Amino acid sequence: MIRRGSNLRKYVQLVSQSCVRNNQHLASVADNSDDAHYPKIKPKYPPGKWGNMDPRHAWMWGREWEQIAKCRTYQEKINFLTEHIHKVWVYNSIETTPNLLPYKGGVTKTTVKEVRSLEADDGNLSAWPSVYNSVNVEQEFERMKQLTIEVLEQVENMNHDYLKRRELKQMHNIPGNCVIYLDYKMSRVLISSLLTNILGNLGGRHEHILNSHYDENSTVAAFWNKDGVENFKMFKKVSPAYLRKQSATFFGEQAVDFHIRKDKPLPEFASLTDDVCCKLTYDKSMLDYYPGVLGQFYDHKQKKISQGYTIGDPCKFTHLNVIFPNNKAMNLVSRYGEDCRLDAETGYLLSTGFLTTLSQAHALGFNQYEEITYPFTTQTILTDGQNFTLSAYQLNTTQMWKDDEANELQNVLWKTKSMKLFEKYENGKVVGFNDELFTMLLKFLLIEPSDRNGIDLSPNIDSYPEKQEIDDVKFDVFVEKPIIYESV
Amino acid sequence: MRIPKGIARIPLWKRDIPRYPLYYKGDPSPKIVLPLFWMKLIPPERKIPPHYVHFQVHPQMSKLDIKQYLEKIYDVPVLNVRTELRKRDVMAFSSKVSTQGILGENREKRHTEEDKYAYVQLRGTTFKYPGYFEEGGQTATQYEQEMAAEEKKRWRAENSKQQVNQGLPPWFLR
Repeated sequence: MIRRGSNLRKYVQLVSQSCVRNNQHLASVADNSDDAHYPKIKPKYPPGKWGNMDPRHAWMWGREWEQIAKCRTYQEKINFLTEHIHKVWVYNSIETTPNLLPYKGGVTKTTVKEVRSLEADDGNLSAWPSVYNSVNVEQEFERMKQLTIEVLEQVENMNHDYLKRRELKQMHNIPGNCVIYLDYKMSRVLISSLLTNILGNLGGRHEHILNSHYDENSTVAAFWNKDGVENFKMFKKVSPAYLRKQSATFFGEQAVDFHIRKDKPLPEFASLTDDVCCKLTYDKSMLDYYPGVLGQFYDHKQKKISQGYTIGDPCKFTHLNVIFPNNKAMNLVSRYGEDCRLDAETGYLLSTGFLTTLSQAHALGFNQYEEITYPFTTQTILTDGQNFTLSAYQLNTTQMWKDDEANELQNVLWKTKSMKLFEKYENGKVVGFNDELFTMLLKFLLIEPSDRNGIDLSPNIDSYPEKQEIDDVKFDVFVEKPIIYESV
Repeated sequence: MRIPKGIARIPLWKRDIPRYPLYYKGDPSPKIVLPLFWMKLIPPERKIPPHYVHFQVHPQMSKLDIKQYLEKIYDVPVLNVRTELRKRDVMAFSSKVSTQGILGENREKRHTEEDKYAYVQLRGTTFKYPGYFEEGGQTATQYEQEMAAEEKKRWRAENSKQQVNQGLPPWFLR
């Protein structure tokens, strides 16, 4: 009975409070009856272009956008982005399942332009970018040609044992390191010796090469969201997971074998108003399917962004990436046929270009919320020492989570066919040197970085972080004297 | 050869495949005339590209077996095969039924049987799973469609939570 009494008391209190509140409200209305005050009507979308996006989805992105815009340092922005562990679709740089190039292009929103000739034409859309026309190579050409031939011959003669062992292994199936690994080692030695010799020679005449940085085996990782890709599960329509469902998250990570960086960015290959960037021609045929159907896997992963260098390094723009096709993954794909192998190669070039530029954009204060104000560009070479495929990549947007109506930009990859630098070795000497390809390779190295008309390169950050002092890695090297036994 | 008593109850298509005979160099190559393998074409759960086909296969079949089965028996060109093992829920009954129930004690026993599924990528050809109620197949009559729609409406009216919360009886909403 006592309990009931207490409940009744509470009820009476509540009723009295509500009556008082109502009376107060009525009084306020009676005082200002002429000026009616209505609450602000919330617009359908936050400010900006949103296309046909679900309004709830748009508001969720808008809220996060406001939060990240308040962060004014690199570290704060990265901490905000990589706070939680998420379920992400793993994006493979080398795809082992065949015929998935359209999927890669769709997910990264890039068109692939296969270039037939290395001569640039302004009118032709599938031509090589016209930036390379202005690069002058004539002064350096013959000196460098002589040097490269010397290096090629020298490496071939020095590593003759390697090649012999390779032949033996292939013939008799000798256990140990596989043939692919030996090939990889050989091409790595060749390219590193070529790059060090050529860059060392050119560095004396060109200041931008002298001040550039050179790295090996640098990891590059980034994540992004893409609109129109089906996500994991159907949740209730009210939950925030449903809102996330409209754009799937992807995470890509890979190692770049050789990495050259400079303090200024490369000039843009095509302006944002060009048809190459504006007319959406990227392949969307594979985006209708659930990625799991195509052999993709998802994983719980800590989000991560790495640019291949420590933050605070003055050389923060990638100039050139070099990658090798002598992998186990590439070897697997080559079993499906020549066409599948070529597709996998273009996919590999695409992913290196995309991941390097996207991670680089994050270092300068841009992300998938805050759109880049100028296009990011890189160059990539895929080579095994003899066959070369050249490519140039331009990142125009980071807002891939918006639909095509809201975001009318796309990323572009220009790519050549694989060409031979020389035909063969005869008696330890190079035969059939390809001059056309070598001029293009020199242009890749000699192209000067630009200021982009003096615009602010990192507008979303107050100041680029200073260089951190990191101790050099020290190796202990023991030099032993050869033991000579004297005959008694 | 006498089949053991336990195995005799299992149907032929579910049994394990006997071991292949040992091969010595110089012997005639072993040939399989009637393999115990089987493949069942299944409708895909999600939308798939036209050059993909889904199968349920014998759990002992490898990727190479699946490829050879399709290529040599049915002349179907295969580009790539991807396999998946899906665990099936099996109720395990035992005399020891604790307070925690089946989930607690016999958890390991619940997931014992596995089914193997193969996702085959065709080379240069396409395939579409025949739809029974789609174009070219049988269609439901207009009367059946109307009846089904009415039944759906009635079911929704009775079972929707929102309308019940309003305090109105279901017959009022019909």
